[in-house]
Amino acid sequence: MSTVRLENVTKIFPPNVVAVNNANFKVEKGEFFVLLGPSGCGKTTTLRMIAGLERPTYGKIYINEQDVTDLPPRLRDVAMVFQTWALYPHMKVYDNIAFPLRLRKVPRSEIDRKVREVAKLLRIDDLLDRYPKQLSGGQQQRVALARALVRSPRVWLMDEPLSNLDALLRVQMRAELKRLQKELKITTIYVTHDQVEAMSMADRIAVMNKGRILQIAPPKEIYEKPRTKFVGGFVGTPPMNFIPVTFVVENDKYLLKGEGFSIELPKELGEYLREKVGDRAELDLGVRPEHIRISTSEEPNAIPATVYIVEPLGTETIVNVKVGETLVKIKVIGEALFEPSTRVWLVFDINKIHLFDTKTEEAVI
Amino acid sequence: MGRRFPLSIIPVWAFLVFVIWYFALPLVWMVVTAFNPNAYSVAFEIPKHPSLANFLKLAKPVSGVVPYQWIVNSVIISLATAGLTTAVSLGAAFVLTRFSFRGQGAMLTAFVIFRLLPALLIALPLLILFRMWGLLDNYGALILALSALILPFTLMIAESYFRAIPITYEEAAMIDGCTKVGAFLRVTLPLAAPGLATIFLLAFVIAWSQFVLPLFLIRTPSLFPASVGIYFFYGQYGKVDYGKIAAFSLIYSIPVIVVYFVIQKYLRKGIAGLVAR
Repeated sequence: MSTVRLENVTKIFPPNVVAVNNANFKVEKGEFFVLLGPSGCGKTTTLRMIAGLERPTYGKIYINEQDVTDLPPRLRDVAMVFQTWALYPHMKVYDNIAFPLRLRKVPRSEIDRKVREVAKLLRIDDLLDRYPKQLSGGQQQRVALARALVRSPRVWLMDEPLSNLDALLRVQMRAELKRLQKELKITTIYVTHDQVEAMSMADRIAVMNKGRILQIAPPKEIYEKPRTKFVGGFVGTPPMNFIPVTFVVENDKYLLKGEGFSIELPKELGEYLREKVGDRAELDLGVRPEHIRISTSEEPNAIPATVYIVEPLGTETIVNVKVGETLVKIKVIGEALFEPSTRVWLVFDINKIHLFDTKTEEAVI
Repeated sequence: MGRRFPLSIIPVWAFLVFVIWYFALPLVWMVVTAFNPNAYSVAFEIPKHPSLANFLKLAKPVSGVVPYQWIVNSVIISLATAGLTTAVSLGAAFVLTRFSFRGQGAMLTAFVIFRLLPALLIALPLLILFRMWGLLDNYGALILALSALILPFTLMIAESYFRAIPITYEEAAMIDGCTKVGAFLRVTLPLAAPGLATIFLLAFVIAWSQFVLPLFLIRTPSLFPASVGIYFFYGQYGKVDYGKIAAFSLIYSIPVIVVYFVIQKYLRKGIAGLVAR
């Protein structure tokens, strides 16, 4: 088990593309650490720098507090599972798995024992005589995992390993991968753009956008306390709703005013907000679809809205409503029958709302 | 119900038969004449008593050289040229596809342009230079010159071939424990084997049939390759033993035909690779 630490790591691709901007984090022993972000956010570049496939422009990378910044991949003792799995097409499954061991001049009998052991663990022991192209996607995936596992690496790096699988298999492999990682306690850094994958597997998530790490926290905290508007909007399905509001103080009342509504904040929260942003501020009100209740009659502190369209999904229903010009999604458990253009009121627990500064996009509460 | 034979196919067949006959005729003439012990004219004559006499005659010197020697020379020159060309193409393709550096595109374009120069254009300057350096009649020098002529072509094939192989395999191998060169040799090279075979055989065939460069750069008859040697079958006073020429031509054409059958599968792939870019 090993730790991985990045210190001020920056990667600039010529001519002047900043792929990763000053990344700092430490992955603890045995941790399942996920780099989450949209494509082009720098997560794969970060992973490749840890693997040694890219050299950081600035900064240092440590594995077990040993500086590996200038070490080639083969001397870092890390294993990587690629998005395309990268199984050597000209080698049988057995030779694919044995390849890293052969390079390390492990005795033949030992190789055989280890290959069969790991093949059994991943339930591919009956496929050892086949070539990669004779395998299904899920089987190839397992072989790639086996090849990464067989030499007990210090760190396991995974670059979207599930994204080439069909939806059903992906959900299956997700659980399996997590169990495997917990069983073997290998420090794992996992790159994905799929927030469900990140939420369900990670011990901690680092959310990245435009080369920057925006927040590093356990999944629950990422979900409950997003530090920026981007994080709030990226995690959760459907994503967090944002409604533009103005925070104002009127007659000792703390109000969030929007298009056609006004919400009074509890005194304590209002005072806190006033201290942070002053007497008047443009904010974005963030509410998760699952934290909104739809009322058919007017209630205090509710936002009036018009039903736009209803999407039934079986166990739940997504109701799309319009607040002024803003589309808001609401998750309703079970069935919800609303005719388009119906007038409704949106009610939410004031403790579950988020407020982001419109300019800086940083969370203010 | 059996499949009906459409009458409209007959003209197509007739045309194809004509085309094949048209292109095959010289070859048929060559084969027939090679086994005709009495072929003293170009006449198309089916031998009454076919024999190997013409092939035996090739063991006797022509202009002081046993013609089989020329075949042996051709084998030596072509194998060495093909080997050198393949090795250099491989190394160059590795650098061109696995590293990026300034002037890469310009370099490839330059290669393509050099490829368009006919051999005749460089033969005379080479003759002058080689004579100056005392490199005439030198196989090493001839092989270098032939390789330079063929390289742009094979390099283009190699480059497209290696570019088509994802670099991810090499990256995986590097993480698994290989050096950069090791990853290329252990993973990409085996995947590129068909491409390299194509390059080797193409280079062999081009070198085998090259006439101009050896004619200029080799002065001693015993060192000629077959392509130049065949020229010497024309006697001083226009007296020509067509049986001998045909027999020699037949032997001379065998390697090319063999190579064609070996690589036709890969050749199509290689050329298709070029087009697909």
